[in-house]
Amino acid sequence: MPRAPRLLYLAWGFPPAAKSCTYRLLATANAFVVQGWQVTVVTLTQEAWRREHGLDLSLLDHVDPRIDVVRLPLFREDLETDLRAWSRDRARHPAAWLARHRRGDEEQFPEPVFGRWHDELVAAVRGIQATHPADLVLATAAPYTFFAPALDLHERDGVPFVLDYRDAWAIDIVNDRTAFTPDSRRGRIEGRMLTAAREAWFVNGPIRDAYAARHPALAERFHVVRNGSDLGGLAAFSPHRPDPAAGLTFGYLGTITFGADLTTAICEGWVQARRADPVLARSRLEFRGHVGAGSARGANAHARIIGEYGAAGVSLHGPVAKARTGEVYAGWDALVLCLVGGRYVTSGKVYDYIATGLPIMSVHASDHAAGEVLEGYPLWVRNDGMDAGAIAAAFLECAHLALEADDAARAAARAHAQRFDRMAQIEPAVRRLTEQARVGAEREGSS
Amino acid sequence: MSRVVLVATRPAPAALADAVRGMRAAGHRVDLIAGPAVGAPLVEAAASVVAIHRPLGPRASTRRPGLARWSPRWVVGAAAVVTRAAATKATNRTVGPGAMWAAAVRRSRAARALLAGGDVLVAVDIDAVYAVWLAAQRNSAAAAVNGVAPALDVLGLDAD
Repeated sequence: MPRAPRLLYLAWGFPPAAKSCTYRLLATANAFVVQGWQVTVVTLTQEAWRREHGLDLSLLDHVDPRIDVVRLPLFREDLETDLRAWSRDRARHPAAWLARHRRGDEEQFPEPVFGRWHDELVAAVRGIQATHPADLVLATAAPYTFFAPALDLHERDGVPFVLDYRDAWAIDIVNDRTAFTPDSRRGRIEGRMLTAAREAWFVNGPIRDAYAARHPALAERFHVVRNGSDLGGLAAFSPHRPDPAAGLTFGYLGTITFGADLTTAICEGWVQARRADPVLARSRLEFRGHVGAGSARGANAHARIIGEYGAAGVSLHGPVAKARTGEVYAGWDALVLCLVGGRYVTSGKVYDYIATGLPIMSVHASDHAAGEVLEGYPLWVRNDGMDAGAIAAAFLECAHLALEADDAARAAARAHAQRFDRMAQIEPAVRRLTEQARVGAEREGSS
Repeated sequence: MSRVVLVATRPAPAALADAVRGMRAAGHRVDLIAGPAVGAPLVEAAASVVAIHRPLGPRASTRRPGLARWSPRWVVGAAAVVTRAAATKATNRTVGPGAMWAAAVRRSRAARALLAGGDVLVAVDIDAVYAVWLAAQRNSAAAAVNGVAPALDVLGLDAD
């Protein structure tokens, strides 16, 4: 009987990290196990995640027990909150210390913040490979420093590897422009990686196509592996009926990564909409999710702005364990989809949003890649702009939709989402690699 | 029960006041050493407040109702604001705002006493870090952290 193929999965945000990427990483590792792989995950310690956005321990229950998890003690010194670990110079001039620290980030690898982990990470992965040789390495970014050990093992030992870019390194997807040129330090490293990689995965067609245009000779290796909804698998959901007498509850669920000026525009738009509609005047706008990292965890500019609009029914209630997201959605009447970026950004939360079957009002650029997923969703309200007036108009339209949508419309909305189940997105890619591994093993056995 | 001492210099989000109430509900005593801009929610959530004033900090406008523009008193007030702003900028560039707030804490007997007796010393914002760091050198038994969420971690309360 042939032995199970071994996967080494370099997955920075693996559970219990409270990161938006965590669900994709969890589903990917589990999918490989289901297809018969022995999976070893390389990630960070719980303490490292506690320092950043925090932990979601509920996710550990969903990690297949057959997965080996190696947790490396790689810490972000800039997020250290124990002041006894700070030098006098850092305590007295924190901004100057951080500027110097940032300059040192890219000495080992050209990536801000994470580049300083390169040598330690490569050495650790070499050690793992020496004791548990992998047949395939799957590396997921960001951070792109996690791609480096995959290339290293390939160049040393010939281990094939796949890069799960999710987004893009060479494109600044938030500002929709080139991040670096092919002849830059990063461009040359990325070129070596892509030339050697068996496959590269991206979360949407526009990013995949942009990479194909940049590297036409490698285009056939580039695949779209979308994010998907976890509501069916990780969090059960049963919606309630809107009650106009009690008012509506609009919700935003997710890590708040957009700019503070947009938080202000949303809150200001909400206030304008409440003045124009009696139902909205007795309604609520709730933000749930992580705000801030490190010392600012739970208390950054977003928290301050939201607090200022408390009298208008706007509130921030902190993060929600993934297993409890279904309960939170069940208490809301409509969802606010606020996203950064444009044609290259899909986001993960759009998939869970459509899986609820609730009315969704967009607060993002008109050419945003999330539009690919929302197109055809029957309870979708597009925004005409990102200013408070346009957002107020979207709140008003969405409120009417929430009150008027019948059971058939809600069922049609949920049906639209079925094709975007998380596992349905990942399984074909894992099956393709499993088949390649099987063919490779047979060829090895017969030679 | 732990004695928690917060040092704050800037306007604080309302969420921090919730965190302080959570600490007190869990049986901990929370005292606040605060600059004038910190804001009511955090001040009201603490068990006691010691007010501190930064030396050479920015001064609020001296504009008073009824004071005629370009009158001698108006000119003196405006000059004081401009001079103070220049001094603030210069000290921020050289000594650093953290050192100036640390000096404000050192000048207050009540603030020094709180920090000497605290079990958990917390810098609520970046300008409060140096004051807490210095206090932690003298109060070697206390935990000293940057941020309220890490303080909740030290107390074993769920920051999330």
